[in-house]
Amino acid sequence: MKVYRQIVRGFDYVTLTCALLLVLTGLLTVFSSAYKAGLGEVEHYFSRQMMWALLGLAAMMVAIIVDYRFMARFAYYFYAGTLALLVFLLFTGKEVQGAQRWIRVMGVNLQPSEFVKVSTLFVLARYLDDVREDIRRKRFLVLAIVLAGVPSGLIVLQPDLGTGLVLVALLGGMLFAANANPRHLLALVISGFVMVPVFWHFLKDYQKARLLSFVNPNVDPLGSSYQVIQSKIAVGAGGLTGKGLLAGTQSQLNFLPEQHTDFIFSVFAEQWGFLGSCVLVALYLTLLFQSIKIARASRDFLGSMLVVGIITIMAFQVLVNLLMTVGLMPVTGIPLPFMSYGGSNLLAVMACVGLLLGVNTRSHIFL
Amino acid sequence: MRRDMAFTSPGSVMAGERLETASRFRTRLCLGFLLLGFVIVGLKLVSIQILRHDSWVDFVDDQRQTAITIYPKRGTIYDRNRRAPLATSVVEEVLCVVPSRVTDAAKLAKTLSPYAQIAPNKIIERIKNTNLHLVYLKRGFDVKTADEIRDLNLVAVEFRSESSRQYPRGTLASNLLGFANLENKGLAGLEFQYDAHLAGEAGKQIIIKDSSRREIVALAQKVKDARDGNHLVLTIDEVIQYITEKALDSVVESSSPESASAVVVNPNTGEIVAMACRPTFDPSKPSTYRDERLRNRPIADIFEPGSAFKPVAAAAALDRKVISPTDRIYCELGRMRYHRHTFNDVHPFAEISFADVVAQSSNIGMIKVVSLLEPQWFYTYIKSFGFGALTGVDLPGESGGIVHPPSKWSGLSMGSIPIGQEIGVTALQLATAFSAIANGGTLLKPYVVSEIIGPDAETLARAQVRPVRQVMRPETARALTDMLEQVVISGTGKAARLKGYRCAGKTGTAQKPDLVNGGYLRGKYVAVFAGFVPVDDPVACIIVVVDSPEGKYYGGQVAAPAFKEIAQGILNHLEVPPSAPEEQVVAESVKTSRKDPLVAQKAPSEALPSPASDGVPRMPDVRGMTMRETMQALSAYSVEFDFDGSGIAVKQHPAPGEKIENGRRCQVAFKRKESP
Repeated sequence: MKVYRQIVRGFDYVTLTCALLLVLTGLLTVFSSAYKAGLGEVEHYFSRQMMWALLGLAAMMVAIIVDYRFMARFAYYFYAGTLALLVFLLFTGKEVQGAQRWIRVMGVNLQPSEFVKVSTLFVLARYLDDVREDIRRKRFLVLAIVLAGVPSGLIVLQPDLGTGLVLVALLGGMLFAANANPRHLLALVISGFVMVPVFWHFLKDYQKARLLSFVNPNVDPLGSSYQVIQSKIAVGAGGLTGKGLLAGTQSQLNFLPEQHTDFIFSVFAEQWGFLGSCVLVALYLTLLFQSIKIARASRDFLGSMLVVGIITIMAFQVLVNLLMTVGLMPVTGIPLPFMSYGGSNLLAVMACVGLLLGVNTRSHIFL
Repeated sequence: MRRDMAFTSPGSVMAGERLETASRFRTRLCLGFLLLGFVIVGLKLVSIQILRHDSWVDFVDDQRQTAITIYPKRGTIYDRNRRAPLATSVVEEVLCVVPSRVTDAAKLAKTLSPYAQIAPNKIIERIKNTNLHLVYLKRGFDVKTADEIRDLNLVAVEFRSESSRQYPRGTLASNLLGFANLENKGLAGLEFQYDAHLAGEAGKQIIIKDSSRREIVALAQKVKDARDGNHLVLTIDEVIQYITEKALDSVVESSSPESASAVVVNPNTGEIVAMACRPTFDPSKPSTYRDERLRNRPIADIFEPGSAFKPVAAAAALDRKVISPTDRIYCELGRMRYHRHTFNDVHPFAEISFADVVAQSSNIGMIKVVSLLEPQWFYTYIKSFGFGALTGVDLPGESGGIVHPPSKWSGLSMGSIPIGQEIGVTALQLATAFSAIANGGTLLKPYVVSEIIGPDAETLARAQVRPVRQVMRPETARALTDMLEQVVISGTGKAARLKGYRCAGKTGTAQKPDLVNGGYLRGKYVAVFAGFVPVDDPVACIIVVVDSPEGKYYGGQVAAPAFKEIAQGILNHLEVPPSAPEEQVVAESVKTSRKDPLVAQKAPSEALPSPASDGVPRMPDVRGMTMRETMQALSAYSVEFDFDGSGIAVKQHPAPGEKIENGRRCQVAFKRKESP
């Protein structure tokens, strides 16, 4: 009982409210995307998302209640388990749109890469907590790179470039926050850019096409640029105040592909317009600023690192997804946290929010 | 380092503070990046959602809205009695398949196969091998069958409705009616001429579609209603049209001509009661026919009228009072030199009356009479009769014929034109000219649409009788009519004689001009009969033109029987009471023959062989003649005859037109006419 009281006392209700509002907005948007005006019916994926949101809520509570330090003890096992899943996936995964990203467990499609994000977050936080200042030494830095690089590589192989990049960003953000040598970081960034031509070679054709169509979207309006153009149309058609709930023709008439997953923001923006978009962005910003506060207020390094990692993952995903949706970045297949359809993603994000709140709570108490 | 120390003591309150101070710069850098990113997103949103909002909205409308044409129902074409329509439109449904929605092609094909009457594997092929959104599988479903298929609830099946043109009477009057295509556009004939009336106005409907082109019915909006086309009521009488076409069919059967045309005009009004030609076509599938079969020959084809033009020349002479029907003309015994050219008569005559010149169709007599006229006078009459100009009939593709002005005439022209050479006419021009003779001298503008009625049966326009001009004095017309009656009674047109009705007409047999090399084609003739019935109160002016018949080729042999068939049919159909019993007509003819010994001496029928044509005498058509007439007809040949029965000749051997050698036996069967 003591634990609960302690939790309640230092609780960050702002973060929780933001997160819950985002989840609700996400559900509403997924619903409006699932509602097909042409058929007058709601596609089945909405109810599944509902179920995942409830599961996410449970995961959130667990992450609040269970001490993150306790959880960090099992970071390497968790990490190893999810890596094993990724390897397993490479051989047997269910192929969707040319990529093996899903694994089927008890009739539910799970996306291990989402869990890998969380496990890598934990493992990096634990590792950085373990090595502390040694991270300025190359040897330890390389080990950190390997820890993030292996899952990232496995995910890129699926191929899922977007999630792979999220892990790279996670590594960068945490190293940066862990006070790694700036020169090392710079060297890493530069070598990354040098690798681009080599990397280009390994890209799948569709990925190349996406990148090229980003440079000039009018090259192939019905092909690889189709999504981006339709997305911009949807966002643009929303105007200042939007078309209102369920009145978005782009999404309700199904012109927008991947609308309930990666392009969920277009669906939202079409219905709620510029003002709605601003409110949504404000919610994300509030959540992120609150998280930064939590990171700085955390009384131990592990907690800080965990929160920094969560901030990095979320900020990176939100920014890249929004920039992609409005046509400022190439399509990489990164979901919008809280909003995009996808159970594993929602579950992971809500668990992360739980972690945030858990870290926050424990920074106010002595245990 | 201080920081190191702080980190090595987890759980200390200081740790958080240390982290904060140590990484303040980094935190701010992160915050900066974060804010920068969101500001960029925000600016882009301003640009897309506010500044360029309108262009995106246009984009949206473009891709979700499809304007669909609502086809109006094309107007119906009725005959004069507004009975069953000659052309009508029905709404037909087109069975379509949306390939992107097909899940089980084999099953779908199997289901649709019996309806579409297409083999299942063919259906699969058509669904699979396409990149179309919509495959038109089969046209022509009625609404009931379409509903039946709709009830099967096949997701991939859609229907489109279109107005399809139907011609319930098949080929009847097809050359006159023309045809319309699937896009409701009249392409020929009346369908073309009155397309603006028949077509109506298309409506427009905006349909909202989703990305897989499914229609969202709830969101559809009608922008403009379709206005159905107007209906046409023709002057055509369906029954008379049928009778006319039947007569042409029997001509085609008996003499296999290259083409044949017939026009029936009401001489008092100019109404075209029937217009037909052979060969013809099926208007429901016009694309399967060659263009020449689609032509409306009675108004489009020009031919030299030959002797059928003589009444025009006679009218000029009579109206100018240079001659009267009883004036006698010496016919040079069948040969006359004229401007270094020899004109022949089929039968040589000495001195005969002008009436007989016309009745016996003497070229020489006619040329002599016309030579009494100034060329300009003659020309004025020709033009006045409407030759060399469009009749102005409300049909497309009319030809004006060929009439040269006197300034272009050669010395021979005054010889050629009176006998219908050097001149080109259409069957309709001939019909209007003969109508003028029949109605007392007024040229009327022919027309085929008597009334245009709107979709709700309100009258929009009604045709009126349009006199063009008085061509000749009524007395001239009357005198000419009498002369033309003699043609049928005792002259070259006896084959046109009707039981119980007085009938007037003129035969014509013209050599066909060789359009390629000049001159005339050997053995190719145009056989014509033009006339009207009954003489005292004409109800129908009938023209029959037979182009290049095989075997018999005289107008009196080929065209006159068809005229008779049509005339008899019309009189029966219109229930015109007989003006004179049969006997009277025959008696009159006999009387005339007796009164005029010259006629009696010379065989009365144009059917007699022409010695000029190939030198071999041919068997005349004696059918319909009395025994006496038959004897007279055959006396010109050195043949033995063998008569059987009594009354009117009904059968003969050899057949008309066959060569007869000297000494050959001719068998003729006679039958007494049943008294009416």
